[in-house]
Amino acid sequence: MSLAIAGVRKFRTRSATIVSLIIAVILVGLLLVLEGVGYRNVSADRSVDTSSIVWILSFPGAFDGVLEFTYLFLGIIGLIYVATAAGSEWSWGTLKVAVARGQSRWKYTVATFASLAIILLIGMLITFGAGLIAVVIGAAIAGLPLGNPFDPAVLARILLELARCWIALTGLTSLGYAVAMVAKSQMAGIGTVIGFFIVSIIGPSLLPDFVREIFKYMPFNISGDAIGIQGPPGSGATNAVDPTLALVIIVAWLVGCLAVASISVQRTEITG
Amino acid sequence: MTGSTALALTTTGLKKSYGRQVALAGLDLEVPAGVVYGFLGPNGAGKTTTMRLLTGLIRADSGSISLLGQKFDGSQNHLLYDVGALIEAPSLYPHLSARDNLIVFGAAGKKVSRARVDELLELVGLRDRAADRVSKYSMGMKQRLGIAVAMLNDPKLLLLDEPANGLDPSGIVALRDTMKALAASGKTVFISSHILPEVQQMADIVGIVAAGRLVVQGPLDELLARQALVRVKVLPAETAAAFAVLSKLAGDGRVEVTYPDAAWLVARIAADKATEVNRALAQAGIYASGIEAGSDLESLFLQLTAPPVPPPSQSRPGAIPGWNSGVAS
Repeated sequence: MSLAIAGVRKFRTRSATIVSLIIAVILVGLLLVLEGVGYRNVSADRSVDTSSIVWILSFPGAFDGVLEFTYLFLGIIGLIYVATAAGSEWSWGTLKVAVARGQSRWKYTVATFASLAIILLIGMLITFGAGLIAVVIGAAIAGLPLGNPFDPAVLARILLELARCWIALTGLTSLGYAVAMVAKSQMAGIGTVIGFFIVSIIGPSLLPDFVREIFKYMPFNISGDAIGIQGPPGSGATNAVDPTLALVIIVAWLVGCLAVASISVQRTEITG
Repeated sequence: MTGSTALALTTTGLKKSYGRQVALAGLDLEVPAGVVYGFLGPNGAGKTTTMRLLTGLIRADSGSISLLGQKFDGSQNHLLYDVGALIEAPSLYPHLSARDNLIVFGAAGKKVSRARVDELLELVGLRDRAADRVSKYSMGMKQRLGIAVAMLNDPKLLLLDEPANGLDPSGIVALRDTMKALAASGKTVFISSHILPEVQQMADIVGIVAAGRLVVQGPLDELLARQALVRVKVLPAETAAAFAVLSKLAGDGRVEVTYPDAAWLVARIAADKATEVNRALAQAGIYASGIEAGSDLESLFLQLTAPPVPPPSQSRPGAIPGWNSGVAS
């Protein structure tokens, strides 16, 4: 535990942490404010369907919308960030120091990821909070009523979805962590993850149906389903996989990725 | 080595290869407890590989290691709780302060108190800069911090790879004093270094390694006694006559003309025979314009690790073997 807390200390002031968070906050915030601007521009035109904008800029729908944006941007940024953090343990030689101090390799690998998961949790909450502020601004720009953000039932559901979002993010980012730890490189981790992301997005449209089925369970696809976000009423948006099953699968990805990273670090020779 | 002396570190037949490249070809070390041990060798001799093996970073192909009396094959992490190491360059978190680096590393392995962190910052002279980011540090300051990290757990065995790298003169003096004080308190310091004069001033025992094998190991004084030299400068015209006189005293093949233009001759002979050398030259009508006696680790190192020196007739002008006239035996 103390190792994970020390890990938070080492990651929290890192410029990659701060820059990643700022990017996520700006992207989420900007998108929501732009929704408000967009609504103001098209609201007079009755031929344009603005229901999704109204949904996202007024509570309780705003909670789900902000959470979806948070997951979307933090998922990609978090993957790169986690791969960077893992790779720098090799490039800076700090893993070497810990091992030479008698630290168990697999415990260090797991504890370091636990620290990153805590950082992700904090980042997710900040981004989500910034998104809610952006909703207020966006709604004001659009001239839309905010609705009721304090419905206890909705708040309880959102808390649960936030927890699921965090699990989904840790599961997703564990992929970048494992690749960077195995490859002992930041760039290998980032490159592989981006490649994997592109294949996950493009692959299903190019491949036969039975392969497309497999893609549903890949981290990029399954992690979104695991949150169980409720889309705008009547939007027809459904999850490809049941949220509970998706949550179980993303946890399995998390455990698998951590196991691969730990076994690799345990067995490898540290020569850098 | 010294039958009854407790050994802090031993290696027996230690072998390690990286692919086809042999790094260690059967290394046998015996490092007694409570000494500063100088581990010397040219580039590629296997010093850093040895350090990595001793800290469990890599695994040996064969052979054995004993740390503080217990067998170590890399899997017994707890044995490293009493070992501190600085391997190659100091590895630090550049965005953290010196204090945070020590706190973060102190959470790995044997846990370390905040008081110990402050104590080490004081010891390595970084207390006033403890809150600054390491990325703003000079190389010497990073080296000091690296040494502090190695000493975090108050180790019984300290392994330092080139610890004087980047240190300024005051830092080197402080390092030397600290290492000697640690040895005096019963701890063992194992130093790998290329800065031979530094090792000479610090080490009680040295081991010289070349091509992955131990070439020589023993108390520094004893080894240096083997490397005694008397150096004499005579007029160029008298070089041949002086060579004959010195050869008679030192024995055939133990005299070299190292710099013919200036007529410096080196005789491998006990340093306390310098007076005798001077007298013999004078009796032969040769008056030396310079005479120095000494022995040094650098000469020993070069003799043991470098290719054989060519005979006097093939000496290359300007090729002077290692010499440190400031160190008298």
